[in-house]
Amino acid sequence: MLDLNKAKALEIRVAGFGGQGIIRCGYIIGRAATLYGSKSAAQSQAYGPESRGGACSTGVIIKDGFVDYPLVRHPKVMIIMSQEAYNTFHLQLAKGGIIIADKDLVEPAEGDQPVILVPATRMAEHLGRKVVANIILLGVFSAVTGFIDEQAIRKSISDSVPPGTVDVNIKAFDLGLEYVRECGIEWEEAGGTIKQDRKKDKEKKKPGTAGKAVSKTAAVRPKRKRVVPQKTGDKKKKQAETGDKKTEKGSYE
Amino acid sequence: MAVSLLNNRGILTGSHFVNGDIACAEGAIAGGCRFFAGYPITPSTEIAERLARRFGQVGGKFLQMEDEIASITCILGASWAGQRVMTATSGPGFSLMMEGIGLAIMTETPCVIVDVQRAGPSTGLPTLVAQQDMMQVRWGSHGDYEIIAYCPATVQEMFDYTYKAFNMAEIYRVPVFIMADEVVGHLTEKLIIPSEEDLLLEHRKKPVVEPRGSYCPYEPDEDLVPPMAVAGEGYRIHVTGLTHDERGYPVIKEDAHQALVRRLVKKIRKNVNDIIEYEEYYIDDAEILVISYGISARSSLRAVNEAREEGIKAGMLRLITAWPFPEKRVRELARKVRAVIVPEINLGQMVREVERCVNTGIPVHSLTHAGGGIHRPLQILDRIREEAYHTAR
Repeated sequence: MLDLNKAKALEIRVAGFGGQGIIRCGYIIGRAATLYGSKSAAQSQAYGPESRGGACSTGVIIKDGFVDYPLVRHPKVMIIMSQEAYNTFHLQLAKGGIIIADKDLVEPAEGDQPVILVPATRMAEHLGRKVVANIILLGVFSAVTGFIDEQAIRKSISDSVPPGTVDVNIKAFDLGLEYVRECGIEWEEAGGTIKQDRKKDKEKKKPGTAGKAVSKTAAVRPKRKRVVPQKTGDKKKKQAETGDKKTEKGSYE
Repeated sequence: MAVSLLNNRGILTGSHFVNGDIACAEGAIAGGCRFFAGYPITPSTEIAERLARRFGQVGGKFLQMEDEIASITCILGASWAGQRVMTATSGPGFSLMMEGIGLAIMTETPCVIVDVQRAGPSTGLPTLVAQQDMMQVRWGSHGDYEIIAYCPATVQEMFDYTYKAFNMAEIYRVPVFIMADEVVGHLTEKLIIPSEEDLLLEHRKKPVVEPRGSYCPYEPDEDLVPPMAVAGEGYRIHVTGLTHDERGYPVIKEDAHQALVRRLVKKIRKNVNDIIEYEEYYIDDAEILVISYGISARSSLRAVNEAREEGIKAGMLRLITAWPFPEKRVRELARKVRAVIVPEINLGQMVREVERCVNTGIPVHSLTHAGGGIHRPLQILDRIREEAYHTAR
């Protein structure tokens, strides 16, 4: 008998290109919630015929009881790893939801959607494995939302990634957690906004600390902030390309 | 992914987070399947992949055939050699299998056929969902017959009913179908493997007479199912798709045909109470009845839940066996409710069966979908609201 329940479902969407570990990222979330948590989860997926490079997305629904309708329609949280995916999905975000995106791959549209931009692919490159960018974003997801127990996700990562890569993946996950702590990112679920602790921001500006690189590359878009797209975008990119790389390399290793 | 936690029979144990196709493959292994012949086709490919990998661990035989016609006839041969057999396909392959399915019915060969449905006609939408083979599974092969077809709605049911299908095929000597769909096949959910005591195997009846004695391969017992000797045991058997007598010899005569075809149909029909499975939700005081199955039942359940929250007395009948159809129960419910809604991902297939059974004059609404997606709960809820409004007294 399918269980009848009125529990509220949490919908999550992970989207990007094939080959970025999009499906795996959703799988890890679902596995953590079901096998290492006491919840039900249903993960669905859609991808193009190519195994790499094509558009790719997965939806995960997490609930305290049986998940009846299994497809994600209005996710509370989105993890986005390509501009195409952002364009396709960002308007589906639920009220009060947040988008966590790769800073170098996604240029968010103007508007008041809360977006946490994380230079995940770049951070992953510093770890020596570009493919763990998804796990860094998973760490950010875990720290910002707290929906799923951190240890559960760790266990789920350990048995979902190829043998021999567990360490680097756990490291990537920790990096995501650390990133949120250092930038002081907080999500106010009720109001659907993101707060960034300014004090912590200042601290990170002390020269020579690990935080410095993070604060420069972190761009947490505050609510209602309008950005002139071309100019600021270029500026940010330049900053990231020139000044940051040195310090980042030192700090992430 | 490493397969761990196997018991001494090679059956997976414990809890897993896997997709429906993998659950189906594991259900087959738990159901004693050790022979698979197939031609991989989206969205059923993962079943073949999983079995190809797992059969090495449990001593099974996996054959990739040149097409689906070869696949179905290959498993029939293996069944006559004593194996519990399966093939898996999707719409286009299912169409090709129709001739072999008729042969399986006529020769009373136990086998399990999985159809992970995708949208047609023809190659249609290879990667997207539909429930468009529901009538094909019932009537697709020529001639009159009865089969058993399950419609799993969850990953857990993909395991449970694939396992069960093998027992039913052995008991009734009939092809048993798993009518899954792309969403259930590719959906990843928690699967809990039942304990070993709950995974018992039923075996086909063996002849009680000596091989050299008076064995008649098609002489039925009281339950209308004949005991089955298999190749290599010394019994003389003749397996033919032609109308045959109890000895298995072709007899091209009216009375032989009457006796044979009526028995093939009756062996299922007289046991419908043991075969038919369905579930009911909020049925006691229901005024608007939703009848659904497979993945559509999950959208329907949400809609019915929401209707109840709005104070509408909606209820649901979920078909687990589409065939045999729970005719008696639908007739009973038709006398209690004011309207029936049938959401399904086709342009109206099982609704015909519902209409046939609902003869009380109440409206029966077909809520159709051409395929490529599943009903949104709101679509079903809207129809429930409409019916509640129009039939209010």
